[in-house]
Amino acid sequence: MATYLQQLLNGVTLGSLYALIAIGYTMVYGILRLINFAHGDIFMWAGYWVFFLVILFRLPWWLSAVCTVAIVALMGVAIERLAYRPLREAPRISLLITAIGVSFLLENLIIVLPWAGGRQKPYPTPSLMTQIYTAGSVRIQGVTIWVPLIAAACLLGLIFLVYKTKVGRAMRAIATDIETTALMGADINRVISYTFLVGSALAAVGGILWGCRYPRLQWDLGIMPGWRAFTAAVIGGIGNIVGAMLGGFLLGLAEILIVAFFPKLSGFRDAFIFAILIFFLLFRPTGILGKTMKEKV
Amino acid sequence: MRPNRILTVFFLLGLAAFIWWGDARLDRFIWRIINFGAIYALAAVGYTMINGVTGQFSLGPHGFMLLGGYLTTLFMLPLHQKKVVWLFTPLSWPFNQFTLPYSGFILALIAGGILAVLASLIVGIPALRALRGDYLAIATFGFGEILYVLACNFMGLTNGPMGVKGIPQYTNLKWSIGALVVLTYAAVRLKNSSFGRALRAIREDELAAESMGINVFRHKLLAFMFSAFCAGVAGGLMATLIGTITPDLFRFFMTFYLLMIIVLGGLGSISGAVVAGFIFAAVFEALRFVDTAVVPGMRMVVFSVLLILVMLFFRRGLFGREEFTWEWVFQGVRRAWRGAWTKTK
Repeated sequence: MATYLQQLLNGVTLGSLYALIAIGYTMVYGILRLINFAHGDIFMWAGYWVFFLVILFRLPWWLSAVCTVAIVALMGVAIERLAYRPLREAPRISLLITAIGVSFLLENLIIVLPWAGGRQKPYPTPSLMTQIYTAGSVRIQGVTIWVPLIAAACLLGLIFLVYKTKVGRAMRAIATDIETTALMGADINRVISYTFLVGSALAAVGGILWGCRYPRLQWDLGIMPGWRAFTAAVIGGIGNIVGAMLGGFLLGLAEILIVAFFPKLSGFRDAFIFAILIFFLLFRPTGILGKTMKEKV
Repeated sequence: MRPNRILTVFFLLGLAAFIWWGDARLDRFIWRIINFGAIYALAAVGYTMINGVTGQFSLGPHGFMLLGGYLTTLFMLPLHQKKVVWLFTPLSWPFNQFTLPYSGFILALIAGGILAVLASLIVGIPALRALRGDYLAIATFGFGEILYVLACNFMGLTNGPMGVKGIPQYTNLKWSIGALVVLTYAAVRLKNSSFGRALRAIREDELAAESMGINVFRHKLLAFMFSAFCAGVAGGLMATLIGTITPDLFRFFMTFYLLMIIVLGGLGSISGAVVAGFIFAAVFEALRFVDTAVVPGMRMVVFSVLLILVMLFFRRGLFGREEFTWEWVFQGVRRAWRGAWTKTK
């Protein structure tokens, strides 16, 4: 029983991390119809920013975490401004190719940076996260409690932003019909910048918490979590924020349970993820929550 | 014979002479770069058929190259080397029973291509029917990654992440440029046939093409199969050029290279893909100094910035959607001549 509970908690932790990343994918897709290849790498950069600020600038951990969220959010906005906005009118495939270029650039910049480099770096984890609580026979690490709590707070904040504020309404309107929204007088570019700001900030929170859970930094750290989160977004119905959260939790739980109870299959873990992704794209492209869409001529 | 034909014949004769001379005399370093260029160009010709000409965005050629590379290796690796490499997990039947002599190299390459085509059917039949745009890109990418994971785990066939070494280095200019010429010729003929016109119609407007009576799915699938065949053969040539393969050789960055090549050459131009393939191989080597003198990994930074800049400011690429023709050369020469004439006046 204790093992089940333990694994369940691990699954929830992982799931909330996926949910945080998946939001960024789903929001950008909902608005620009772009699969932001660079999103996983933005997530990876968050871990490195904490590392830079704590180790190189000797800031206290909580301050570096806050600064990281701000910096990474601005990075997301800058990437959209410099690389994606000039291609607004171009074919969508050009946008995808550019996103792939940005993704490779972000990964290789980390390899090139003198303080980061190609080698693994230790992530500075605060003691709050490594502390171990015991309840009966269940031993829980600080991360397992804090990660889902922080993630839940962020997700509630996001839902408030999207459904209760003016910017959120503009985001939903653009996701439905970008041209009409522009005619209604909404500043499209500003709203898109906000979308990247929010998505990247959530990815940053995810990256910071991910580091607490798996305290190793490497340049390719963001690739697979990024793809899993993207799969989560597809499972939940891409463009659907609540769906992305749900997909994240489902995928995190499924992953932990499969690895825990069928350890022999763990080598094939990534293949399963992509198989699920392809399966959903083929047979349920609107996800478990999505509605069917008709193609416009 | 028309003058263009004659020029083409002369060009091919010159190329044959270059290959014959190059394999014997050319500096090994340059020889290697030209081989790589031809292999990249070959994979890129196939890749541009599906991505550029048909406009169906695939991100999976690295997976097809992996299949071709491993199958060619399994056919050509000498038996004693197979015993050395598969030390922990024995090599599966039937590959532990035989090996092909050099005369069977062409069979091994074609087999690699055919295996890639079979794989392209597995992913292409469902994916090309149901998906387009970035969803198709993700599905093909996922397929390539699945192949990578399988290559890492099926030790009995691939020796896993440790890879295979000691592959006989059969690839030379005869093989690499030979395969490039044959498959480029096929690609150009395909592009200029009614089949190719149908592909371009699909790229411009799928619904319109379908209502004109084009079987969209069948055309897409055939273009996809052709691209997989090119990638498979290119993978086989690459394995027998380098002499060592691991699953990591055929990861997503390989597709990234090919993407750079076809974007630089102009999406949809076959001759652009060929020219850009050689340019890429040359620049890749020329920039090696950045990796050694500045910091390892810098080269990829340069390449990714380059890709972004090309996409932002030079989306046409070198050739746009046009092809190389002799008329184009004549015009260029005539213009240069006239320019020189007016200047001297």
